Amino acid sequence: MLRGKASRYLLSLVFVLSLNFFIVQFLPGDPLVHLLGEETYVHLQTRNPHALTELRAKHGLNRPMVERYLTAMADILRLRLGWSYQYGSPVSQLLFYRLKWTLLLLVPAVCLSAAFGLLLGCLAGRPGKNRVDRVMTPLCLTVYATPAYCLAFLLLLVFAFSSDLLPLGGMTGSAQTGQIPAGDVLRHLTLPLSVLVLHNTAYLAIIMRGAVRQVFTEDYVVTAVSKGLKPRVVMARHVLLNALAPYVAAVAINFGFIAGGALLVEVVFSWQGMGSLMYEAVLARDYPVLSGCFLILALAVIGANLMADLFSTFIDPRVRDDAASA
Amino acid sequence: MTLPLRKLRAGVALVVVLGLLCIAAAVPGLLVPSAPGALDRPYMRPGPGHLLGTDGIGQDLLSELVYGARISLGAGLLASLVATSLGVLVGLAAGYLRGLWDEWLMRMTDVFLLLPGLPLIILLAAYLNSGLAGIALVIGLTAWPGTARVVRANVRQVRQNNFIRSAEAMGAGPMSIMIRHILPNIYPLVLAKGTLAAASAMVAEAGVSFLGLGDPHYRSWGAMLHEAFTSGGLLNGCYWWYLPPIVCISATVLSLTLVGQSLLDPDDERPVFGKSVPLQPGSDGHKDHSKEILYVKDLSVDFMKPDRTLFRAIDRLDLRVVTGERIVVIGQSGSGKSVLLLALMRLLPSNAVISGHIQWKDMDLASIPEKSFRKVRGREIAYVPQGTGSALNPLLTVGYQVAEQAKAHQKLSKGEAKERAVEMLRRAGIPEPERRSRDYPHRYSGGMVQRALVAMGLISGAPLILLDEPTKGLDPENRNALLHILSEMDGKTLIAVTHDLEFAERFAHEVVVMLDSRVVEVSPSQAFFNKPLHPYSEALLKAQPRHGLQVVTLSEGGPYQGSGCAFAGRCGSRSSECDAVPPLVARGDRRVRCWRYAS
Repeated sequence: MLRGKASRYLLSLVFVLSLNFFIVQFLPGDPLVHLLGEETYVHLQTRNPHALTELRAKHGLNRPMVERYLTAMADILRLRLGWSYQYGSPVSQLLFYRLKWTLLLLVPAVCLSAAFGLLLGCLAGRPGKNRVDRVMTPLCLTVYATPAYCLAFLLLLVFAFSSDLLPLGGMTGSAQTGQIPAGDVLRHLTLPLSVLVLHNTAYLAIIMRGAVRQVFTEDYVVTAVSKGLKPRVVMARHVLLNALAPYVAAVAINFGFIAGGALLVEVVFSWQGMGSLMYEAVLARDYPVLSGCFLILALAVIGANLMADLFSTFIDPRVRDDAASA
Repeated sequence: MTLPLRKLRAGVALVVVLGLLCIAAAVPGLLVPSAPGALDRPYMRPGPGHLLGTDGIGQDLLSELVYGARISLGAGLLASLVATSLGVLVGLAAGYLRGLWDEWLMRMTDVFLLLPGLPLIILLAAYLNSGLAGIALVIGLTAWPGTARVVRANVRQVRQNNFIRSAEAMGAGPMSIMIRHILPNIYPLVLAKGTLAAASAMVAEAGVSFLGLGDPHYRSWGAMLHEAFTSGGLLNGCYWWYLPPIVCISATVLSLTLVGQSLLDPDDERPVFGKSVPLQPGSDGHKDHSKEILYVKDLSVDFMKPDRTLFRAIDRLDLRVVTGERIVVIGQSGSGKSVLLLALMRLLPSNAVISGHIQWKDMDLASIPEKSFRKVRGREIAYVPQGTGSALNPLLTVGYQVAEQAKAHQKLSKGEAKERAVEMLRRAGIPEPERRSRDYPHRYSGGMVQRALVAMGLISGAPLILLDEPTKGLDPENRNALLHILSEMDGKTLIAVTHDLEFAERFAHEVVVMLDSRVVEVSPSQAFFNKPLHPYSEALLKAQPRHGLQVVTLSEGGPYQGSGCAFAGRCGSRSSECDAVPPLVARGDRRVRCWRYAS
């Protein structure tokens, strides 16, 4: 089983790393367009076709496929992700700068919403007549059905326009270089973070509720109740503990969804992270940047799932034994 | 079938939303006079001329919204069609063909499942640069893995069925079996997954269009948001520009999600327990039952079925239990035996309706609140669940689970409770209890799980212990060991429910026979096994190995109709009286429910 999982991750990793290469090679159009950008390409095509041929040779586009693939892989492993023709700088450099800001938003958002979702899900998943379930679950479903960036529009309307409490967007009030005041960043972080926490909490609470309800049908919960334990103890020791692994796995598998939502929210608040980078790249058709963003996100999702698997090994003695015997 | 009002209202709201949506998508002209395109003054607030105002170039927003429905919904449905077909194809092939096909298809599915959906869609849409259909296709191509997995699991279940086997035996090829026999059986699931896929595809399309990757010729709701965002609608506070598409997206996605969920899990009301169940005190005929430790009178249990009809599991049961007595309840599955134990512990699902009178010592168990009942569980009455299945929490050590009870009720410290747990495990016959108490349940054999559960019952110190099928799944050696342990419990009162007549004979002081929710015989053990009174009891004993395994199918009756004697259909000595339920009549120290003894 462990070997199966390792091979799954390896396969995913290879696939993700190769995906960009195959997209550039096999989608219709000259691969050179994707490397240079449409404008430069058309410009060169009309003015200096000879330079185009030279560039083709420089990028190795007339070498055999296998050689090109291996070169591309080697480049990725050395973090050479190409050249952004929009910013005029290496993609990897851009990504690392922007990644910091995305993480500043995404990490607290995931942690907070995972905790809130856990709590709400536990409360809503309790069987019987349950007021929390009656109120929270329809509410969560509605919030979940509203895309995160739409929620951002709504929150902006309420907090930034109607009451002028919080800034409309950006990351700092005065966009000077040098020392960035932490309090100001926090003020700018509040709205985007709230949007993400709100949306993901709603989603995760629904998942946790399902997990808790599932565990409540298990025989060992009847056993626990029959011992005369307090409901709190039954919930914490027997239900929550067993619902945790499926919950964490669901969070991990949906990490891509969560990150995707965060990207669009960044755009609304002009938060200068990966999302805005991707947005600008879309508008300028800056393909190397787009591919780089995707690569980072895909790696993050693989990492999240790996962590969830490790977590379930940590929490579940059955998986532990399986791992030990493998 | 009556639905709760809350659900009915939700259903009506769903129909209205989806109905409006379909009209908007099919015949937008019915809702608004003209297609968007005509220009008026820009940035007009909602008013008489333009119900929802105008956008940055002066187009009527209402007509944009209505005409956008077709695009948004169409993209969602198209993507869902692609995703669901692909998912079904992969799931069917993997689930039915199995072997290498299964392995590699599932590997591929896992890889795709790990790709972040929206970023991949953005990437592909940017590279492809190809209109609405292209976007829908890309969304569909990235959204199939979830469906494939669920379909595969479902197909694997369906293919176990006999009709598949017989179709195979008649020489049907894999193609025809998959399409003709399996597909119709997974159809509800496919429909549910398809609806949910449409919902998430609409979200994805809106996201892609919001980023400006949408088709400029077909303006969906997402594209409206893109316009509002990039043309300053957001920054200028033109809420009327972006609120309507947001509401439309949410309402549509919510409706589709709800429909999909209800298709996926139609019976959302799962059985639950541990809540106080209303117990109407029955008539208590005679007050003097000081001898009994437990006195049950007129106990009935009904289960509310999803269609709101009642199913009777226990019918007016009386039971008297004296201190130190060992009672065994026998009867076929579904006769209400296990329900009886759960009813005494108040552990029945919330759809159970209980009535009657349960007296424990001088406590009226029927009327005490749940909080007080918790002090009865595990302290006054202990429950030993069936060892088969998952009676033990897989994530906690056995020692912990045994000690838990002592900690809760006897105010022992952690160390003391652990020591007592080890002691109890030893008494219950677990070898090396010190080491084994630190093991997790999955390392225990079936017999050991059963013994650990008995240890759990022992540690409580409760004077009454209820055992549910204590010998189920045990080999003879383990069963003898268990009998030995149980027989050694002096001073404890025990009620066991079992199919195992040999166990009953060696263990019981008194035997209670249940048949279809009713007690049909109560006899002292020796007398019962010498000469059972009820024809059903006779049949049970005759089927025992030492009686030569005689199968008593005296006359084949139809299913029990609920009126009359439940055994009448199978009884050799039935008479016309058997059409009415016989009373439970006393015969010396025995009681029997049969017209033979009624006169």
